[in-house]
Amino acid sequence: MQLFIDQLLKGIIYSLDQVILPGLSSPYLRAQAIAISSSLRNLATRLASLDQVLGYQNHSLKSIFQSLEKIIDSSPELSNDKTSMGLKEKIEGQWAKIYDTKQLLADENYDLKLLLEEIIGSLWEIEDRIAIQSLRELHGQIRQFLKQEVETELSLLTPPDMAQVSKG
Amino acid sequence: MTDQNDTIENKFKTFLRTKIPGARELTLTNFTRMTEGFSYETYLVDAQWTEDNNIVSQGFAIRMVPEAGVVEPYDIEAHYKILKVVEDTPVPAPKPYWLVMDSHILGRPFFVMEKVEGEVPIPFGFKNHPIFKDPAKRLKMARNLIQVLADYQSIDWRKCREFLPVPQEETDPARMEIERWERNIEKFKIFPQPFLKEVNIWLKRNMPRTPFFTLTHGDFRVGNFIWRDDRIVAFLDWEMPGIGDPMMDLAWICWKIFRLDDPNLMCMLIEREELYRIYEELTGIQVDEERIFYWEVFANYKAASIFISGVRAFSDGKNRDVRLISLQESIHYTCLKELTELLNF
Repeated sequence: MQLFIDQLLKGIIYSLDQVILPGLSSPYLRAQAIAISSSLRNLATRLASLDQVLGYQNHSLKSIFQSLEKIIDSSPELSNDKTSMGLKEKIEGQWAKIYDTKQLLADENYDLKLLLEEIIGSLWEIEDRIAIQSLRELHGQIRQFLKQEVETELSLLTPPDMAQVSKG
Repeated sequence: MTDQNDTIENKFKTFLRTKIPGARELTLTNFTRMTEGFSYETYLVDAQWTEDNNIVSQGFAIRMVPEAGVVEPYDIEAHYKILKVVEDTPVPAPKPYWLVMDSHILGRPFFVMEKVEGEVPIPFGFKNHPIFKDPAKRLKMARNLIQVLADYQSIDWRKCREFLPVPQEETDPARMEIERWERNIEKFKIFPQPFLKEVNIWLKRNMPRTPFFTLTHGDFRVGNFIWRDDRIVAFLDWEMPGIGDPMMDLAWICWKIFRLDDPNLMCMLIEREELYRIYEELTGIQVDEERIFYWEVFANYKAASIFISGVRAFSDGKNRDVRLISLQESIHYTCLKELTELLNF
């Protein structure tokens, strides 16, 4: 392609906003055009920072999983607990994965979040049975990560005007 | 008019002829696809025909199930039947005419109801609305909204037991709602959702006990009614009816998404204490703030599930309404952010 993607998107957005939208009279079609323009704008922002975001998230998630491994290893109760050991096995499985696709960061991010989903599913249940302060703190760290993830997503978004999107 | 609208309009005209056999010289005008609402495809049309030498004019609204959308699974029968139930009550709603399950008529199941004239005020940008700027009118709208809720909740839910799931235990209203939206997250998510998993477990562990059940609407708020002559003339969007906790719809009115421009005004209309006071006065039901809190948390979870279904429908090419992406960009992450605050993440 003979131009940068951000320049391409900028041109399409301009055309939508300045050429197409003023010529549309149907509220439904106007609402669609406004939504497309807004989505392209957000896509441009996202493309510019996606690798950085994914890299940071992957690093944070790996750190959480390493902490969980350490907690399990250092606790005789957890080391003898079937669910905890199941989680440890899954984490070890994750470390063994090799990413050689073109979307390395995105693929790894997907797997890490899938693993986090599984860990959360078990963590509450383990905490009910085995009261360990460090485990509770790790749960807090996970919540902190989830909160940061949301804040990062919000920082990458310029919300469309929903009044316009709803009314056209 | 788009080609798609043209096709639906022509097919609807053929359908209408079969429903009004005595109609002669039938004409349709103002066929429009509505922008308000993201769940069903909604079309408005004005019809005119001659019957027994009299000219008859009637506006219709057509609500058609999308191929895929935000409130899966679409139960159009329940949607239609709840309109039938409220038809003979003080709850203002469009009169339902025909339910058509045969996909050959318009392409997908649909029902036809009365077109009600008036304005649909929406919460987004409502701060610029003349009613918002007039506290007396704002309170009038709020009181009317609560009155409709009170009238709806006073309907005996047993009338709907044949087409709505009936809770058996006190925690069933919460359990049934969580299960429905959890199923959709699991079925339609494109990416893993650890955040929603965390919230899901919190919801399951904190299910409130509902001492008695009422009918629930599922999306009771500003933006879902038609306002004309200083009153609600029709409540809309009956696609998620249920039997459950009366606090659920009250909490939905309090949902933060509908008061982003003024957090102190529920649905951009009324302060929380005043809402509770009027609700108690009109219903005789005591507000349970713990349950309200629970259902406010749930509202964000349900919305996230709705947006995930919408994005999946778009991604699968089954619903090309780009506004489904706008919903995610404008509301989804705001809901998640609200959850981090409500649950002290």
